[in-house]
Amino acid sequence: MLTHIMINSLRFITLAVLPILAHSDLIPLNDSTLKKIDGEGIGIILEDFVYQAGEQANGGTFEISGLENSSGQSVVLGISQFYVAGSNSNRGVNVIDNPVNLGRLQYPYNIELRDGNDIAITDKAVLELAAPKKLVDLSYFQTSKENRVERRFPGKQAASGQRVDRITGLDETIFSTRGSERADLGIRFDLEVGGTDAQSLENHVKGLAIDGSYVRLWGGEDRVEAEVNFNLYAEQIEFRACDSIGTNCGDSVNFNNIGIEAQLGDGNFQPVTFEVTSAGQFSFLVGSLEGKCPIGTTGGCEAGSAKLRLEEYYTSGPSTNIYVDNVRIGTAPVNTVGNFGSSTISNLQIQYLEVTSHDL
Amino acid sequence: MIKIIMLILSLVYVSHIFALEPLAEEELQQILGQGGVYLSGDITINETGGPLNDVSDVSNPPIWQQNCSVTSTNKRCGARIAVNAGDGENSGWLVLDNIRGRFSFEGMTLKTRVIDTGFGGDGALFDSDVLEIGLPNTISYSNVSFTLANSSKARPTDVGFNQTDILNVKIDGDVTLRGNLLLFPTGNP
Amino acid sequence: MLNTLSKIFCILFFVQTSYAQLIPITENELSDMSGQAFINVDRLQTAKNSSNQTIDTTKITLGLDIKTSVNADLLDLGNYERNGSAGSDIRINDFALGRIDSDGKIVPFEISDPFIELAFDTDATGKENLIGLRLGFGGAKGALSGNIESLTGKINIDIFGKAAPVRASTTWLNRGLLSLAGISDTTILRAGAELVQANGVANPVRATTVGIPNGDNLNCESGCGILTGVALALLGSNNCNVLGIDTCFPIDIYRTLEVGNKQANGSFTEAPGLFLSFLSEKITWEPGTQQAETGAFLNVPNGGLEVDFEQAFNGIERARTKYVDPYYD
Repeated sequence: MLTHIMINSLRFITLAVLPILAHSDLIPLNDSTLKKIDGEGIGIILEDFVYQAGEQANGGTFEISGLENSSGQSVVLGISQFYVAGSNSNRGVNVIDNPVNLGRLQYPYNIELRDGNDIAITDKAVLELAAPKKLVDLSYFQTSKENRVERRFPGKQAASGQRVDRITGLDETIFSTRGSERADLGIRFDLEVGGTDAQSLENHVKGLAIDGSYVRLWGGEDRVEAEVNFNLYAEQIEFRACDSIGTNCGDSVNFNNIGIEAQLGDGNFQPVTFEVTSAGQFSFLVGSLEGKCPIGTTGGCEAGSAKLRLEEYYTSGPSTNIYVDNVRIGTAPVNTVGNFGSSTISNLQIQYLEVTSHDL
Repeated sequence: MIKIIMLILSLVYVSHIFALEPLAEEELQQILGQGGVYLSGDITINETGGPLNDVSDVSNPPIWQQNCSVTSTNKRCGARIAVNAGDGENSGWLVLDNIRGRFSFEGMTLKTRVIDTGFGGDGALFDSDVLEIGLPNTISYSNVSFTLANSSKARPTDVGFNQTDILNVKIDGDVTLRGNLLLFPTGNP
Repeated sequence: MLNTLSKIFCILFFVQTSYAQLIPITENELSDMSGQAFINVDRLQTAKNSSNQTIDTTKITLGLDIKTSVNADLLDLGNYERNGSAGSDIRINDFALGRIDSDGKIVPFEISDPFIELAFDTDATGKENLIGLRLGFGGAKGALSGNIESLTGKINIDIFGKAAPVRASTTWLNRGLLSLAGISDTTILRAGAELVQANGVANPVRATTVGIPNGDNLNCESGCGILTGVALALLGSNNCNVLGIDTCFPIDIYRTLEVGNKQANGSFTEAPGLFLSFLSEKITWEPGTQQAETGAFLNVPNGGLEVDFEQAFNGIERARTKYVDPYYD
């Protein structure tokens, strides 16, 4: 009993004493500390990241089913391996101890609520999901231009203005993602048609960067509207067929040093929407430019502010560039059959795009 | 007993004899804490059906009264999420249907971390705190499956409901997920 | 702490054991699950390699209807040295799909059921070597515009119309001969033009000229005099010439091509067979079709392009493709 009282007293006194011992002054945060704390966005980085799944990689089952061929037989894709790892993964062989950093502290993946007035989406709050920004807001592609000199028909006026003649190179200096920190990713799968194994296919991507990509979402009149930038740079994208354990692989098709810069939509002016129709089909729409200006006699814009806005769209509006330094089948050396040199689609602008799915 | 009380009271007085002063920056920095959370999780979704699969309730629509054992493949046993990005009335729904299965993981960590070095030089420029979520190395999926689909209405019980399945995904096995997820504030208020 | 967390998770995802009687699905419910969606994956044995052996292909088809109006400064595919000469397999400047009519309405280029097909040749060891791939469309219709600098592929241009421009393009002596043969201004002639070299040899590789290949001739459809058929048959085109009439034209004068199957009432329906391929070996993709060349190859389907003789000689005017168009404004 006495011990009890003693122990309880001890406890009480210790508790009573504690606040006195812990007394200290509150010190105000200084300006330099406060400046580092920004609001409104969340930066995301993956440090030492490795992802691997698949029936062969980790055992078990990983399959995508529910697809069909044109005769109605069921098609199943059995995923043998799906991986994201650091560079030099050697087509998925070197994954586990080969991590990658995705995003940098100064250039993270970012989720942010932005003021639409800053980004040509007037009077809207815009949710922006973004990949690491580029170091400089310039295109990857260095181009050389030429003047238009053709007529639309003999006797009509000659066209004026400049257009891209060719892409002269890729400007690597604008990437924030360091060369040594680009991800390798890939997928190997077995194709099973009507219950029998048909083929095993592989797709490997080396040295991937998506700097400058983003999706901006806001509420339009009665639907969700978006603006999408999709940038992809990869050292190599490869497709090939192998046997089901990934050996005995045949010749592949390689897209070497591929760059894609796709800009879809232009703020409020040309929004992008993605929805499911009432019939249960997908509908993807890049808004039409029809009706954006009063029309003259030949179908073009009459002079005025609307025409100026469309001129601005054509000279500096959203455009898509795709460039592959080398398309090659197998190991064909330069300028031999199977080596298709470079391919370019330059300054593609989408005035209207509507994609609707239907049952096959 | 009284001796003890006096001893303790004297200790209290002793602490008042030394004037309390705020700890200086250098001293505070030397006090290292060990904070953080270590998580293990085991999440099961609709392994034997969901709350709507109640056969004992006669008012429950027949569409939900299904045999939902572990081996059942009935689509109405799983969970369902439907999203409409259009104008509701005149547009359809993007659906993740028949979501079922069990995820388990061990060793996910949660802590704050000061970064002022490393990261190829970025750390010194960054010089700030992040929330670090340590990924659990392995996530075990046990009969996890879901279906991507489109439907004309939100719920199977709505009039005029029609659904088109696009593909089914099924995962049963381990997935390797390693690394750290770092979160920190960005942007301009 | 951990126990509490687990408990919270369990409550959130409420697991319920239910032993239920099997209840037959009602008609109403059966109709909920509609048919297959929009992706088809096929393994086919319809293609043949350069030795005419059947090869396997893997084809992914998407059930999509696409309507679009796009402009690009440059479409340049297969830029490499071929037979020692630099150049591109396909090079089109100011490429556009779709047009804008005189009321400012967009008339889109329509595509349905795009697909990607990979062709594999299996060697003696059982390795499946990829020998080519193509991007194709189940159906295509609309205006394809551009200044075609070089084209590798198959384009069959059907030249069909009154003979007046043919007669007008040649000397008075030849006009007399044509009249003798029964070809007047109102005679309806038909000819098939394809990619040729400047000397009339049919050549689908990096062509800059389209015309009547050596040996082919004009055919009479109506308004033919007694001698017309015989005369025309005797006068095959040679070296891009028939009776002093040019039968080959630079391809870049055709600034807008209307792709599609032309109907009697002048409208168009979608034509199947439009594809773009990259091949390391010549392949016949489908039975009864023309073999595709190595390199980049654009296949425009038969019945896809039709011009009259006026257009054949003078070219086709480029349609308006932009609201502020350098060719119009």
